[in-house]
Amino acid sequence: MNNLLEIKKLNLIYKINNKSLQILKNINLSLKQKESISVVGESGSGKTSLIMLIAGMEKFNSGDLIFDGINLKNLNEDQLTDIRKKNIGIIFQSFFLLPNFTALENVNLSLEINNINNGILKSKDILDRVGLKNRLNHFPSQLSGGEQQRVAIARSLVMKPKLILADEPTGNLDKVNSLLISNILFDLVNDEGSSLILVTHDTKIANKANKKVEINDGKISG
Amino acid sequence: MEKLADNKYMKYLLLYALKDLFRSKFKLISISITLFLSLFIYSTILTLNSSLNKELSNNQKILLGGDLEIDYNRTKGNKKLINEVKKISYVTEIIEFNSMVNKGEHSIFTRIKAIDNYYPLYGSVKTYPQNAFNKMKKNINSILLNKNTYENLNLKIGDNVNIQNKQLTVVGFLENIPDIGGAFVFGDYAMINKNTLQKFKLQSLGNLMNNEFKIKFKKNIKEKNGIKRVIEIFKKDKNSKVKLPKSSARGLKLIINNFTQFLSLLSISALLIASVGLANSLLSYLNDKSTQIAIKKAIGISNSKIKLIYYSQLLILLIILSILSYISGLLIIPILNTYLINFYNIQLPFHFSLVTYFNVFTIGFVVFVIFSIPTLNSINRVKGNILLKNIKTNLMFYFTKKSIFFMFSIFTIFILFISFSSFRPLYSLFYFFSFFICIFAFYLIFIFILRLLKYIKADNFLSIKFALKDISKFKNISLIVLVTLGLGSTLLLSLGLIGFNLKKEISKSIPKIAPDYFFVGIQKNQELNFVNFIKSKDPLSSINIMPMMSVKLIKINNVDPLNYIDQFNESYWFINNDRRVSWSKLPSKNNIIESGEWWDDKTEELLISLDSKIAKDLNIKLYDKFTLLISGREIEGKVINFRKVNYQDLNINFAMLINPKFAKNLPSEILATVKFMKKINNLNLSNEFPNISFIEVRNYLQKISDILNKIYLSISLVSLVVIFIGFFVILSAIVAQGKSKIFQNLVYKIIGLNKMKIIKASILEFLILYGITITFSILFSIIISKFVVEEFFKSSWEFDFITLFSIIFFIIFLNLLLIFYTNLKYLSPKIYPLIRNE
Repeated sequence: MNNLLEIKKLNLIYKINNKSLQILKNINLSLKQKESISVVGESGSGKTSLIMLIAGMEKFNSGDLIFDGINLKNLNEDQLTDIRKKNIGIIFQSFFLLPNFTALENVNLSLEINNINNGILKSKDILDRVGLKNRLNHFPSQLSGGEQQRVAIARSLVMKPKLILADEPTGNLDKVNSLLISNILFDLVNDEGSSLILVTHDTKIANKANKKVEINDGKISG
Repeated sequence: MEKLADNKYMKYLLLYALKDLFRSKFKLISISITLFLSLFIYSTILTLNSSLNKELSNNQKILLGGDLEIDYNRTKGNKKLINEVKKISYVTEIIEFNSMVNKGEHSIFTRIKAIDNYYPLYGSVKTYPQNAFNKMKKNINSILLNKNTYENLNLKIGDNVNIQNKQLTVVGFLENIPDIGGAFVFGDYAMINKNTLQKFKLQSLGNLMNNEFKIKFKKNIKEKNGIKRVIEIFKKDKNSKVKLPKSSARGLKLIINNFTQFLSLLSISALLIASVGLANSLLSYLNDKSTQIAIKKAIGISNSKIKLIYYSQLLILLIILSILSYISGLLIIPILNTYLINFYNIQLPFHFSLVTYFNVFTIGFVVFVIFSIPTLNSINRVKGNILLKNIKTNLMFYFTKKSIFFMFSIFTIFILFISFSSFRPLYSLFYFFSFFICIFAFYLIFIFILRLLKYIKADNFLSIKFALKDISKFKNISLIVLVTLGLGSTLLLSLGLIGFNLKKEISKSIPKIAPDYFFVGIQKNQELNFVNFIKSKDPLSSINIMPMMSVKLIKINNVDPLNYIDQFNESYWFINNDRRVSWSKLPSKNNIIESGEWWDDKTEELLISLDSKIAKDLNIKLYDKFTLLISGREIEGKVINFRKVNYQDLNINFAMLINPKFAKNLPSEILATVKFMKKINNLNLSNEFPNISFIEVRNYLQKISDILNKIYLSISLVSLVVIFIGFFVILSAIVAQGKSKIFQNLVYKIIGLNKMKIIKASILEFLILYGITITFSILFSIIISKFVVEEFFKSSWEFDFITLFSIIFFIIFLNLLLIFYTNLKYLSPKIYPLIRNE
């Protein structure tokens, strides 16, 4: 099976007060289609930074990051946005829902910006699948943390993206909700045939992935 | 013990407020600049007004030229009475008259002051060269002219000028004279000694001659007693009028008061607009601090204590900024002094006035408190659980019934206080009323927009959908942008249109029917020669001749009007001095009779036709009785009609006309206007008619234009600062809007929305909001400017598309620039800290 993602000798350096701080050092990683990888590691080890680079929301300093055959190294912001729009769904620990949009509108937004017809039906369907059938017209402030995260999952999957990036999606949730959310996430990823990179501190959830890598001090050690 | 703990707690909170304020100094920049600018304008205007008035009242004796003035107008002084006064005081006699000053072919209409050796009793005369004043006093046939006349006639020291066929030698020019309170403020003037004056025959009315005696009490005389005595001496002398120093420079005071009133209202508008912006910046500041507020609540600090922290911060900021703005306002004085000393010999005092500072602080405090109430009340809405639920909260203004009542009460007191402490309270009230009507109208427009947006379905147009969502989501900020922009543009467009109409008035070509020249001082026996002279210059010229005589209004319905008419009444001039009256069989075509009837040919008793504006100002009704002093006799007549007198047509217009049957045998002279059909370069009358003076309408208009231009410039400068504040407020609103969109932009970025779509949405949002606002601003500004131009300037209003278009273009361009800038700035937020919830 072809690799969906291929990362070679990836380096990320931040300059803070004229001092260089290397966040990621010579990262090598590959991900096949429909494969899931969990990334674990201590806080500040560089997990979220890696997710940001794969999502094309930050620029790396050296190395290659090839997504679906395209090297993201030389793309500009708009091109990266376009790739993200069509192929990547992202889930964060802090749900990042638009507060002035209802649950249904938040999910439907991804379809709308891709000019997809029957968006509402698809959005309703996926919200139904995450158990929010009765919460379609609720605003984020009217939903619990677990429910907000389910909306975020639905939004990331409604486009049937090739890759889902989840950055500690259960970090803000209790045990019961964590289990529920992780089950929903893995089930949907499987159903839609997407690949998944999941950053987590929770070993149980990490073990659900096909592969597990550990980042320590900016290097992959697992 | 509990109290001690409470005090300790309060002390801790205040210290915390100070520390937090210092740490947030950069976040408070927009609040500080807006507040500073508005307080700065207000304190500058207050300082200027109080300094000018103080200077005028300190120098009122200098401006009057004595402790008292006995004004005899055209009549000669009563020597017996004057000698009586001389027992207790020093007296200087001054005779002023108008005449043409000629040099070669050039003539200038000039007010000439003839002085004796005792002049001036107060102040000093500055001349070039320095000894020129003494030289003029000593030498008969010598003259000093003001610098303007000196330069316009291209004179040199030692040159001769010709006045009424008499040659006088120029010994220098006047830089300034102390008693500028009279007609010397704007016109051309000259000075001669009393011996030189003997050469002239000055009984003609056209000379507008004035005899006055200035009095300075001797050292052993108490001023109060002296005044009492002088009033007693002249009590029965009907030809004289005793003037006190407080009535000096009445015209100057009137101008200053009117001007200050206008500028104060403008500066308070700036303060109010700035306050709307302050409320917005403060809300944005609190939004930045929402997590901090939630943490404070989580650790058990009550809403009121948290508010106290922010109120303390605002108070500290207000104290610092009000001191800074007051000091900056004071610094304007030395700059202004360099101009004032040249023009009016006025040197404004540079001193710290606690009262003025307190006034600035109080106004700032009241406005600040009113506008910060709904903002700081939003603290009630911050819930501690946002820390747990990870919800981004957008704080909004929060009004309770109590706070609305409180705000309304303070506001009412504020407006009433400002209005009734102003020069013209009703104007101020009307202004504020219009200002709040505008705010309310824009608020209603916004509510209407919100309602309308609910019915607009834009599912297929993403940018429109975002734009509509943004307007309703950020409704607080949208409302502020709309109201601020609305008020700012209405003010700007109104000033623009008023300015255009004022400019039009200034540069207005002389009315078609207006004459080219006014001639005064023509004696009855000169009439024929004069007409022949004019016809010899241009046979096709049209000459309008009117008889004229001088009368004095002594009583209205048997009461001296000076006893009950305020000196700042707009028509005070009518009762203050002698009036020139004319008579005519038929009413003038340009004077419409508004009420009453014109006279017949038969009535022999005195009948009066009066300017309707004067009648209104002095509360004169039809058939009221006027007692006029005519040729030394008191004659009673009745007012039988009111005319609308249009002085702007520059024709012969008399405020008071009398019936010709009564006037038939009265001594009179002639006033004439001439309109030439061909161009006459130099109208040299000095040889044939040395006693006739003339004013060229074009020159007269130029002088008026120069003054109006100066006023227009000052208004424009203050308006510019107000406009700057308005834009700063809009900028802060747009920045606040941009800031609150950072989170939204991040989400857009996550789901893959490109920048152009976001910018497009912002522009659409801009077009919807601004389009509607500007449309209404245009409408309001047309109504306001039309009202101001027609009612206050008594001028015709004209719509000017270019002014309107340029201002709107300027507003839209600047705002679009701001929106682009803030969007671009906040479109690419630093993602990592946001993702990390930092």
